[in-house]
This record gives sequence, structure tokens and C-alpha cells, in this order.
Amino acid sequence: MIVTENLSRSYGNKAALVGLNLTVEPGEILGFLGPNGAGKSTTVKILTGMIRPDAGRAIIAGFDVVEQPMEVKKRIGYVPETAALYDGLTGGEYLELIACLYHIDSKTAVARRSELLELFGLLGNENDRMSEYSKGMRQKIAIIAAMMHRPEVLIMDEPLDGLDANTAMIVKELVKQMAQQGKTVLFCSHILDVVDRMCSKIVIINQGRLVASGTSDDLKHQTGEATLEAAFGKLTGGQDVGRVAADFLSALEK
Amino acid sequence: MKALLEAAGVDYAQWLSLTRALLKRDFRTRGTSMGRAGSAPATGMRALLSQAIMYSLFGGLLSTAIVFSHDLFFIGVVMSAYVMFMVGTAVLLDHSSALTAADDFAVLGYRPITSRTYFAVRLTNVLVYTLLMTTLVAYIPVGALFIKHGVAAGIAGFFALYGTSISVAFGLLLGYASLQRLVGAARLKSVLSYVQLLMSFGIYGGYFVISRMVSKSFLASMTLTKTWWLLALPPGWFASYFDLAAGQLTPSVLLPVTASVAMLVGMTLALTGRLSAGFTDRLGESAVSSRRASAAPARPTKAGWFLANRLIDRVGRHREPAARRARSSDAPPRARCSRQRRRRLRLHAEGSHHDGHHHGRSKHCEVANVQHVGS
Repeated sequence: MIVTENLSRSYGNKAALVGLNLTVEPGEILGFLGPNGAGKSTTVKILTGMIRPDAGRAIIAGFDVVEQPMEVKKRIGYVPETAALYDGLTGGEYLELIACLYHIDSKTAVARRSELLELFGLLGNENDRMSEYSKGMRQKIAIIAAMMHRPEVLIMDEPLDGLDANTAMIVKELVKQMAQQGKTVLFCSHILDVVDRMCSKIVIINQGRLVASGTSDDLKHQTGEATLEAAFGKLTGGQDVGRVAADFLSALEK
Repeated sequence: MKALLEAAGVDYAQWLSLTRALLKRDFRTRGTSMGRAGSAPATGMRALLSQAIMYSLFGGLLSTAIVFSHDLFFIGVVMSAYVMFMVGTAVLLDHSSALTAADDFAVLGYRPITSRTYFAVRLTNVLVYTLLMTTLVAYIPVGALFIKHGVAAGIAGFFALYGTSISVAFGLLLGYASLQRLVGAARLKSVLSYVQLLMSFGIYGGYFVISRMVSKSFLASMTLTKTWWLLALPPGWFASYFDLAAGQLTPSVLLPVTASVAMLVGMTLALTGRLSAGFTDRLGESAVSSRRASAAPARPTKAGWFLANRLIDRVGRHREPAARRARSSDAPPRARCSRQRRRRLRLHAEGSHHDGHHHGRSKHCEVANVQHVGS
């Protein structure tokens, strides 16, 4: 379970997050949306214990992220926006390291690693250095690394970025099944169709503040729009896309 | 080892696996040289081999003093000063980001690794490199000491060289870690540049003072008179190990030896104490600050570029009003856009951004605005 209460964070005199209240129940997939700079990454960084909030608190799996960061970190699996990996290591070595960091015994770690690599079609590449991996292969390693220790809470920031269509389907199905098992999932994505289909609840933030929350249908109903995309645009002050595109093209012609 | 680390609050399994992985990564990608901006050093075995040859040659040069001198204090000061210079330079240039690097934080920041464990990993990483370097320099001189001056002198030389090496590495890391604690994350990088410059002066200056003094003495008799100021300097402390090995138990020997041991113990306690607690939190704030700062135009941060930076700043400041005037007259759309962006931000702040009534030009600004605010 994820709960945030009045979570706030500033960078200098710029408020990135202002009094955010969130609740994600076990078994729920929460689509966490917002335009660039809305405060999504800041929220995720606070939830993963990477930075501290200025005010408010966040509870993950019953533990406070500031007071008990180690307990929180043991229970979360995080797929970052850009797969930050140790490029000098091979995929196999990196996953071995991750298993050690979570104190997974070596026999279990080897079995899980092989199985997950095989499912993602990486079994033949496990001894190649990750500097030679494609973006999709790196993303697959990041996803495996986030799930190896069977986390209670999964935080995914653009997890489908760079994945081929088949792997993306596997990941989506995986996330759904994990939620069915009672795991809590926070899913950040700019691909609104995916969020619409996958997430049981959606939260939209803008300029650090929560602007809407509910099911996809709730949001469409609230805004009177037919699609989640249009509802998102309305809630976050999006522009007339046709006009922006036309202005863009006319600017290029000058 | 395991019990010692666990007593210091370090998770042994994590420490071992991370140390192995990071060393593997560094040797594969950077050889023995870490983080030198703009350089593309050889990697792996080739780098190790070239470094081994180079440091062995330096060790061979040091051995000439051992072969031709009978004054063990003189030998000790020369060896200790040289190792200090070598390790100090290496830590300053190649490991300056060892404790402040944000790279690791992106990979490990959300993993269950305590501050003390991660700090121990970084410390071990730097120590492995500096001790490897010291070994490559020391094996010929220490061998020569055993052969020419006996077992006791050989053992004293071994402890003097490794003691010097560890002290310098710890001293510099202590400086970095203290700064990280004292200075806010936002100012850390710029402050580090100044400190790096000062430490460079200290290391290079100290080396030249000692080498100048030693060369005069070397030309005369290859001996060195124990003066109070020489015994006040760390090379003099470590050189006193030879006198201790020779059985001299006078205050002029015991005090410098005690000072060197106290310095090492003090630095170890300081590094494993408060400085290592909360280390990852500070690293996290640094990582966020550096990412935000990277949105600003890139500037050289190496201390050597300090003067050039100041000069560029001054020239830039003088030229700025003229440049701004030129922009406002030559490029009105951009300036207008900028003004509109500020106006729109004000409107957003006042909560009047839902009016849905924007004209064409402001939409260009809206796109820029979104990118500007983007995380």
C-alpha cells in the first residue's frame, strides 16, 4: 500500500510538489499522470527514498519513507525512467549483484535470473556487457532487476519505453497479474491508451498539485471528454494541438 | 574482516558484492584511471600493464637513494614524500568524484543499502586503487631495503610507505566527505573546485619544498638532519619508523611515530563515524542538484580552469548588457515570447489559467514554458 499525506518538496524557491495526497491500495494499479515538470519524478524519488520531502509524509507497505527507508527499499521494486545500469558489467553479473543486495540466496537467485532472462529473450545475451545492449534490452534488465526480489510495491516510471511490442505486452500482463496477486503498483506513463486500459485508478497532477483522481470513466465524466487523452489535456491546461502544429509548421517556413 | 565491518555497521554481503562489481566495472571501462574528464585511458589489462611499468620505474628511481645512502631517515623522508605526492595527485585528479559521484546513486539510491555500507564501498574502492599504486611503486624500494639495510628496515619501509599512502587517501577523502556534510548540495561542486585547487597547491607545494631541500642534502652527503620542522611534517613522522625499527626509543622518534598512528586512527574514526551516516541522503541531494544544475550551460569545474572561469565570468558580465540590448532590438519575437512566458507564469500562479482563451503567439511560449519547467 502507498499513502502520501500532504507531501511537499521544493528545489530552491521552486515548489515541485505541493501537499500531495495519494492512496494506492494493494491489488490496485494507479496510473500516475502529469505533464512534464508536474512533479511525478519528484514524487517517485520521494517514494523510493532517493530524496526527502520538505513536508508531509509517505508510507509504503506500512513503513515511513523518511523514518524507515531501509524497510521501504526492501519492499519496493522500481523501474526508473531511464535504465541506469552499470554498463561495464554483463547482464548476468548485474542481476547477480542485485540479488546479493537483496540477500536472495544464490541458488534461488540463479534460478530466478535464468527464468526471467529466458522469458524476456535475453538468455543468450547474459554474458555480454550491457554497454553493448540496445535500449530495449537495457529496459528488460531494469525490469528484471526491479522484480527479482518479489517486491510488495512496484513503482514503474515509463516501463514500456524502448520495449518491442511483444515484450511490452508481456510486461503489461505481468503488471496486471502482480496486481491480482495483491501487489501495489504505481504506474507512470505518458502513453495514455496504456494507462486507460491497465490502471484501475488514475491520478493527474499538474504544477505539483493533484488536479484529478478516479477511474478513467470518472475523469472523462468530470471533464465531459470522450477520451482520457482529451480529459488529460483539459485538466492540465493542454493546448489546441492542431493549432500548435500549424503554428509550428508556419514558424519553420519563416 | 567480516566481524570488523559488521561491527562498523556495514552489511558484509552487500559490501563484498558491490566492491567486486564496482572494481570489475572500473577496470573494464577505465583501467586504473578514474573519472578524468576528457581523457580516454586504456582499459583492462593493457592499462594495468602500462601503469605497472610506469610505477615500477618510479620505484626503481627511489631505490637509487636506498642503494647510495646510509641515512635511513633521509630514505624514509624521500620515499614518504614521493608516495604522498603520487597518491595525493591520483586521488585529486582521478578520484575527486569518488565520494561525490552521482552516477552510483541513480543505480543504487533506491536499493536497501545503508549509508555506512555504501560509504565503506567507496572507501574500499579508493583504497584498492591507491594501495595497488603504492604496491607497484614500493616493491622494488622495499626489496632494496631488505637487501641493503636488513629485515627491520624492510619492514619499517613497508609500514612507512603504506601508512603514508593510506593517510593521504584518507586525508583527502575526509576533506571531501566533510565538505559534503558542511556545504549544501547546491554549492558542493563549486566549493569542491576551490578546495581541489587549494589541495593541489598543498600537495605540489609540499612536494617541491621537500624535494628542493632533499636535493641540496642529496648533493652534499645523502643525509638529512632531523630538524623540529621536518619532524612536524608527515613525511618526517613516517620516516621515523626506520629509527624505531633500529631500536631508538627517544622522544624525537616516539613522538612522530605516535603522531602518524594517531593521525591514521583519528581519520579512520572520523570516516567511519558521523561522516558515513546520512551519506546517501547527502549524495541524493547532490544528485538532484547536479541534475538541475546540468540544465544550465556547462562550465568547466576542474580547479585548473578556475582562473579562466573567473575571466570568462568577468568578460561575460561586461558584455551582457550590450548583448541583451542587441537581443531586444534584433530578436523581438524571442523577447516578446519571454515576456509572455513570465506573464503566463504569473497568470498560472494567480489561478487564471483555465480561461482557455489564448491567442496564437502565446502558444509558442506555452511549448517553451512546458519544456522550461520540465523535470
